[in-house]
Amino acid sequence: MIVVGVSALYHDSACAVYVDGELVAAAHEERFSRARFDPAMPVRAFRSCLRRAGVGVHEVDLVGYYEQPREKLARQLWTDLPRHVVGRPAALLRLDASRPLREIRDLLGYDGPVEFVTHHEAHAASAFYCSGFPDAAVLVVDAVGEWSTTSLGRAGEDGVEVLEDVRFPHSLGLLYSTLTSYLGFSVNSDEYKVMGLAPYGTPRHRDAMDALVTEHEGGFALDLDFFDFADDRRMYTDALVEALGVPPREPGDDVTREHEDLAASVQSLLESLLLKQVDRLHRLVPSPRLCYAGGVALNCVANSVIRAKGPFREVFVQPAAGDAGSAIGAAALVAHRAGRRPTRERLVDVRLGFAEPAGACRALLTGAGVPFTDLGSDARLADAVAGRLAGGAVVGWFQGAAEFGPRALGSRSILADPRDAAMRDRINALVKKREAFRPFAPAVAAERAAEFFELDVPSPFMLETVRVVPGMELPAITHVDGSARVQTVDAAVDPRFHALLTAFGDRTGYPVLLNTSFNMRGEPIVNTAGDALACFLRSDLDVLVLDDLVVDRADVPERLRRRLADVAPYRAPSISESVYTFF
Amino acid sequence: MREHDDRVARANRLAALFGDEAGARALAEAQKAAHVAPDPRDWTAEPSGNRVGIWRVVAGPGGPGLRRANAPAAIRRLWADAPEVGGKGDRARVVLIGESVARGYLLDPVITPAAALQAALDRCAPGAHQCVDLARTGIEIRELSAVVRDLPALEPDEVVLVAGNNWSMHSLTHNECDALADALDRDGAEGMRAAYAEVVVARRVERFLSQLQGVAERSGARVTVVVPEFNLTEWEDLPLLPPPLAPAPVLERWRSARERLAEAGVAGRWAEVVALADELAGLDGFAAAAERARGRALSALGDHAAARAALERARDAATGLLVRHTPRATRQVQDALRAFAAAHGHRLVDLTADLADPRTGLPDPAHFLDYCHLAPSGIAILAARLAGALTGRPVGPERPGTPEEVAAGHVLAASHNAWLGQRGPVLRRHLALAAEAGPAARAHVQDLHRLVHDDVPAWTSEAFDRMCSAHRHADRYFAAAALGSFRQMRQTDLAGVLRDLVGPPPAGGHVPEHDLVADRQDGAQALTHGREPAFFRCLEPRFGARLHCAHGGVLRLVYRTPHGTGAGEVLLDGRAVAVLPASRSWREADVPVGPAAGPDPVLEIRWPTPDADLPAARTAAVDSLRRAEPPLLHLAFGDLSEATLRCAHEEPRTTARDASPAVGAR
Repeated sequence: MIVVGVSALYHDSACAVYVDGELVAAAHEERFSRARFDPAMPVRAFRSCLRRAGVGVHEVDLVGYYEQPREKLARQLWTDLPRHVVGRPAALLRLDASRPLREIRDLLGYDGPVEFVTHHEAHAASAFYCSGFPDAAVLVVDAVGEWSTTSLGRAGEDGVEVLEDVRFPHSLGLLYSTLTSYLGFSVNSDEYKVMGLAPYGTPRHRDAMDALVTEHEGGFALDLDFFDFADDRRMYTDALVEALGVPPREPGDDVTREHEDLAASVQSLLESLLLKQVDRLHRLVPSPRLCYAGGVALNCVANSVIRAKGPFREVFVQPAAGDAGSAIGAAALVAHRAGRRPTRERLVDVRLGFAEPAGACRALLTGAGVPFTDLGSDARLADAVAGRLAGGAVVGWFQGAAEFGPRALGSRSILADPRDAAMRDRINALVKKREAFRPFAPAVAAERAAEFFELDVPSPFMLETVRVVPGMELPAITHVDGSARVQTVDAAVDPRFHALLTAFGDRTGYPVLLNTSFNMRGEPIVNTAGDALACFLRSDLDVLVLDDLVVDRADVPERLRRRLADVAPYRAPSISESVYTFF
Repeated sequence: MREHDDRVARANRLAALFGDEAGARALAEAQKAAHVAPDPRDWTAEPSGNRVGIWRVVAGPGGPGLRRANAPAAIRRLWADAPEVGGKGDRARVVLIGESVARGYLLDPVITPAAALQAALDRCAPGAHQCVDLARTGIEIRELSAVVRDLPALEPDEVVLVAGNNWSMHSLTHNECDALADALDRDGAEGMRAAYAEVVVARRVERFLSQLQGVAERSGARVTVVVPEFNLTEWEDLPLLPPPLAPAPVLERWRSARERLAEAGVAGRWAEVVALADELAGLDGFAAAAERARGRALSALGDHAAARAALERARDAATGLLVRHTPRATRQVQDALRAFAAAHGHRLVDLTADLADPRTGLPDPAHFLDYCHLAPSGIAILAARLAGALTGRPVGPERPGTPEEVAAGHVLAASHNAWLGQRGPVLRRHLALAAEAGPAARAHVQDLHRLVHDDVPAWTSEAFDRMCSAHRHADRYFAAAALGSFRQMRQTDLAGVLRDLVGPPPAGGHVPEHDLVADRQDGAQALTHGREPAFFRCLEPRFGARLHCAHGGVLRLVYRTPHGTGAGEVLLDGRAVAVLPASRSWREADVPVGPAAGPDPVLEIRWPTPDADLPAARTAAVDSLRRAEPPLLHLAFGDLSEATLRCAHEEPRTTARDASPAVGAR
């Protein structure tokens, strides 16, 4: 049975394909369109995923869509009731529950059956069916699905069942987004910056934050005196400004101690509320296993708190925990409901996206007149690249199929020596151009992870924040609070990346590399080898590795950089979204 | 809490009522009625202060001048390459406004109408005029309106309007979409096209010209109006789409008549062509194919006035259906410009007369680089006529540019024409003109050849770099296409023309598989405002592709015929190799394709004729317009999800560049 999952028409659209219960392909539309968080029906991702799966559109048995359009419409209409029944101007032509099916037919060309699942069912399924657990409690936390913002449920042989939920507008995701906006960052995008800022501060506004939320048996409620999700300009009221006692930060303004403390406070509040939710979930579903997804599950600091302090022995977080990942969940759930339960194997490898065909990287470099060294084997390649990394080089590392999800995990990565205290600033200057407070993450050879990080479980998807073992000199990836968002790399899963880490370890004693996504700030992660070459030239990376081929910056003809700067110069994003759109 | 629950219950009831297509339409209508704020795509009347286009107006000793503001390179390329413009001093300031014709597209910034006009003015009145170039490639009429609005800050003495080619291609407001939907619903596709002319084009043109008149009166500037011309005899709108929303018998007859008409045209049986054009026009109220064929035939028969009328109808037939077409000034627009000049006593330069071949009265293709953009000879005539009008003295045309610059323009023209599906003879004309200029120009032709056969993103190609480095107009033109590869050009006639002129293609890496869907570029696919689907929608009776693999192999097709009955067939170089049964759902077929006789085998799929539920198709198109989406008025003959040729022989070939010691594996 071939089942396609689709997540689209809101934020970061994506597609996933299951063939006979195996997840074989998944891709974000933004990687192809090069429009960050592209919400459009994922026509390019759909084509690419079918091609990767080796199936045709005529062979697709079922499409699963990641939300219930009518329920979503009800919530959208509710937002402006009772003043208007037709929404605000921003909703013009967007109140259309028939659009998903219409575009699946018209744009994807799929003419078979389509099943719709609720947004939180899709999230829950995306975690459960990738967890390898026979059964589990499931937690979904995001801004909002149709109505649900937090869902507690269970999953097992009978599928996924939501037992309780908290409903819009009471939302942990929106709470966090509101403070993200308050701190001058873009909502539905930059929440991770608040998480990164938090360790610099102290949660001295926690009391004020606590007043924003009322907890009760079965959930919580936002105090709507402080929030206004129907406002087109901002998500909060004057009462919040008064309560916090710190004026909102304008985008681009300096980050001050006050802002750090606000970030610390909202992070602390979030962790506290999440712990209460997982406690309640455990009472409802006394399983030792938790599956967790939704946009808030990308908050890896909170994830580690749930793992460390929560009641569940095993926790699986969906690596593509945001909306894109629910394409996986929608496909898995409708497949199960149609009688083809997805595999019971745990997802250990998210390299499910676009891969250049054999010979394409060589053809690109040859066609571009870029000298390269072909190192053929994993060992030779690893040794050569490790030598450059140990010498201080920053490397653009492009291998095989693209990762699905927001993290670069060794297929589309920028790598560097984590021992160099100056490396963070250097990479920020070279390519990332991002706020200095944001930490970079490490990748480590899995079998040696415990030597460097206080980590007792694998973390293949960079979704855990752990302490760096005291005495380890890894300043470029150690956050201000001594933590790191670590990725463990298993030799059986990604032998090439593991070999590189090992080779670096052989030279330096540290099988650890700084690993950040291969993109310029504000752009999607590179998808094709051409994207990688362009990013390499726009930034000032020292080395580019395309599959087996190594390119040193000094060898690249100047004409390429000049030409690229002429025809497609890099432009930093200038738009900051201060309001969460519900349309 | 009770209040909250009541509200939720009400929202749920509303969603149940509005949750289907009809509900979405009802909500959309209610939203449009409720929100009376100006549509962002509509015009703004507020002057922008001290800006005109991408420049700031700055005060100087000679009066107001211009200084270019920060703008992305992609935007800067659309305007004149002028960081600063000084004050006019005691010269008369002539401001040229308009579209890509006024920019000198394909020659800009090396050769521009503004520079040619300045030179012409200097020839007859040295130092008396300052020509300011405010033309912008791709400018829409409402954007042009913003330029006009801001003109007074520049204190112009003369305003020259060279525009109209973009006035039949607009992004539409919701109200305009609704008006078109009403017309389509009521009167069918012809009604919609008429409404487009009346509701969209006429109103906008009238509004714009009225604004220009007001600005001219307030600022005291005199106006000169240029009536644009179209390359009527040479340009062919491709693909030639069948009549919209037509029943199967009409499509069958149209198909048959079109094939007979093409045969008669090739054979030069012009009287038969005219008769067949009548037959075709009787089937197709839009008549683009019929009128073009009729125009060619009448011209061949020596009735040039009737030929012009037919070719103008063919040109204008492309507009108003919201299907992608190249810029063009329709008769409606030309007449509006003439009437405006006459009504207000403005000077008029009418290129329909000035660019005509004196023997026929038809536009001379030698003055064009494509559908409407002028060759250096055309720019020279435009500049001379304008200078004569402005000074009242006769001015002779003087062709601008060096032979090399002009030659490079023809290389770009060949590329541009090929992208837009033009036939071999047109491409050959431009490349031959380029090659005449000498070895450097011939090297550019070779570079284009190499670029077409490179699979890499264009910006990485040495050939691309050489062309862009050598000529600033190449840099301007090619920049928009730089991130993709030029391999789609191999599906055009350009590949064959280059092979004839330059020799066999440069050797490339072996390609075991050809994705014929990915390689196709087709203007009909990208509707004016729409999104491309995940499959290739064939709006013509046939799908053709060059295979670039003479060994044959296996062609894998995943196809459907959404409205088709009967069967289609697959042909290789005109020889049938397989039957494709009609199928309204997707179906796969593996078609063995034997070796081809020639070096450039052509695969063709002939689709069965659509027999659609026409009322449903019309309703769907109306609904699309109500959603401000493009209506699909042409029935799909076939859809291709996959068309992949797996070659019988994989030929490992060394690359030309492998010989270079600086390139490749070390």
